[in-house]
Amino acid sequence: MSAATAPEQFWFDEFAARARKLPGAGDSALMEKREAAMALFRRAGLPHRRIEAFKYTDLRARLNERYDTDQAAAPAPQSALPAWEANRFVIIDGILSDARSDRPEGLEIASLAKDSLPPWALARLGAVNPQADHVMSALNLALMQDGVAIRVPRGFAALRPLHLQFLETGGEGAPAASHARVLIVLEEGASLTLTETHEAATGRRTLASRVTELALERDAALEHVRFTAAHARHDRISSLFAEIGAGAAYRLSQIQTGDGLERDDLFVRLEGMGAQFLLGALRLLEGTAHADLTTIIDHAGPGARADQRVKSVLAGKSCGIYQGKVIVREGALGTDSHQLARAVLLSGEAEAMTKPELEIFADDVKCGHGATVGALDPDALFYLRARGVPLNEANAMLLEAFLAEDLDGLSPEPIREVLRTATLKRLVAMEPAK
Amino acid sequence: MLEIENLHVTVDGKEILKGLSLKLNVGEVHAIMGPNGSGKSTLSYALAGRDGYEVTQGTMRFDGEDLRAMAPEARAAMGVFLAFQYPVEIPGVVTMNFLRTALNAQARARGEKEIDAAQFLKAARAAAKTLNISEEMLRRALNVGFSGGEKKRLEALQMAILKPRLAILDETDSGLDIDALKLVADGVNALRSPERAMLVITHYQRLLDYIVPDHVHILADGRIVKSGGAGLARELEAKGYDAVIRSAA
Ligand SMILES: Nc1ncnc2c1ncn2[C@@H]1O[C@H](COP(=O)(O)OP(=O)(O)OP(=O)(O)O)[C@@H](O)[C@H]1O
Ligand SMILES: [Mg+2]
Repeated sequence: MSAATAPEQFWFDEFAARARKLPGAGDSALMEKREAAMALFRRAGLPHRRIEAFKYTDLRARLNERYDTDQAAAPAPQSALPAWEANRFVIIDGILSDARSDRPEGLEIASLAKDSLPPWALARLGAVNPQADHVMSALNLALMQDGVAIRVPRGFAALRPLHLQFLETGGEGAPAASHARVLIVLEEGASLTLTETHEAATGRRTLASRVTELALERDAALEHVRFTAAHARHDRISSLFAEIGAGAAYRLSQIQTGDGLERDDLFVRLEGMGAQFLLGALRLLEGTAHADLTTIIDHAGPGARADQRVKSVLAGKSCGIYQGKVIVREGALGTDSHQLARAVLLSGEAEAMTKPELEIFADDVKCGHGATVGALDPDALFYLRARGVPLNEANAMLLEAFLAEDLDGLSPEPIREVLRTATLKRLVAMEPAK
Repeated sequence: MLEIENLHVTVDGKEILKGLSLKLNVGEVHAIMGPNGSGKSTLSYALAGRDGYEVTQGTMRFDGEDLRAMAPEARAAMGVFLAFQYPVEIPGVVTMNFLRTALNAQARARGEKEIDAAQFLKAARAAAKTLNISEEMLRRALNVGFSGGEKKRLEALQMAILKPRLAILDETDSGLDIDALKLVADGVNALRSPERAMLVITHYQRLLDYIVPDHVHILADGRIVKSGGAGLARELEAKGYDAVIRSAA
């Protein structure tokens, strides 16, 4: 790369200053990983608009602060969501709070802030469905301060959901950044429900660099529900890497709200017969929100199925991006892979961008994609209003209908009700179309 | 109750209503008849407040208040109800939930108490039964996949539940079978009262045999060209629009 920009130089200096104090400094295997990751970051720099995958989301321009990465003990923020039955891990400004976290039985848990990681965690850290040159996850690994690794043992069905509650402190103060990571291994036949909420309190600028690695061995099942509530000064840069073994099923339901910047990279590799990935993403964006979902679904083995559905409700000057790439490798016969993007624009200044991409190297595959963008049906709005339903409520009713099947499909039930209520609250508050 | 004076309405730059005047007193039922394209639905949309129906001249007053200044939902809360000629299909909105939302929204706007769920369910079921609407239909998405006649019966049900003070029925009889026509007419008659008024748009004498109007108006080319009693509808049925309109000119 050419000369480093100031934001890039900041991270070089940061690494130089902190490397020896980061967790795992005494563990040469982990330090090697960190060094290698930093080397990649030095080589490539922050992603910018001339990098195809970041065409719409120029992180070099956006992540331009001199961040405070020493997480001072601020008053701990609270979640705005009602609690549901779960084993909780509370992660405040990227740091796992032991005091507020549970110790679930039957699962193996390792803190990523500890100096020595168990071999199963170390082996997989940064190595689940790895992507060459993925800069943001490399930066995350190089500077990772904390996080959690979880192993669900072979054949174990975790009945109580596992909840990862990410909270970002707001208030006055210098911009803050944190790098945290989650690694989950589901051994053969294991099953788990994982819920994840990301809430950022308003105030100072914050950067949350988050990486999730999910390894599903054969016949494992993971139900993953994720909710985010961002604000205009919050940048959430998230990458998820998943490997799904034969017969294993992974479903991710993601609901994003607010007006922050959210970049989600999703890399899913389906490894064999009967492997399944279902994505249902709902985005309710306002103000100057910018949500970029970029996925690469890699059908590495035959007979796997992927279904991605992305729905966006875009108000104000918000922008919803979905770049979905599907790769069908040689020999991945009988692949079934679909993408659907639907967006409702509530304002003339909101934008929806969809870019599907197919790379098919096998025969006998079913791949398809579709996209729709439009306003709410004015006839339907008038019909509701003519019956006395006020405009904002009529608007919310039609938006709820637009999202109904996805909200109804959330599971398990207590989470569905909490997220449905949170979603509907946002819908009623959204500026209706003029 | 409703006073329309010299109303001019333009849709997409085209003038459709060209100086229409009409007065409805409380307690009265008026029928409007007129050829296809004469502007009957345009009048009903203008009264209900549909976007794009631009009033370029004239006035519409309801209880002395200028309707033009009011949003559709405000007009509804005042008691204006339009039974649509073509009810809109709304996927994902469950009919029963919609009915309750509408009823409660109107109550709130009027500063009245919302109806509780059990009470509502009971009232809705009873009203549905008299119109021969099954509960299964009420659990379906609003108007989605309903037959033409079912949609019209659902409009009548909404009217029965919302109990408007001014009901505008835009060809609610079209598409109804003979038995349903009778049920819907019974529903309308049940609402007839000294506190309410109705504007019944129809092409057929048959409906007016059941709902006998106090006044009948003929709308042609954006104006009321002739008004009379219930007998005018029978004259139309016998002679056709052409002859009656020509004799009026
Ligand atoms: N968007 C539009 N642009 C131009 N002309 C329109 C538009 N909408 C309606 N019209 C015209 O306005 C006229 C009146 O239509 P309207 O629907 O009010 O008639 P109607 O009396 O209700 O007829 P029918 O008996 O067939 O229901 C018609 O000629 C119709 O083509
Ligand atoms: Mg009409």
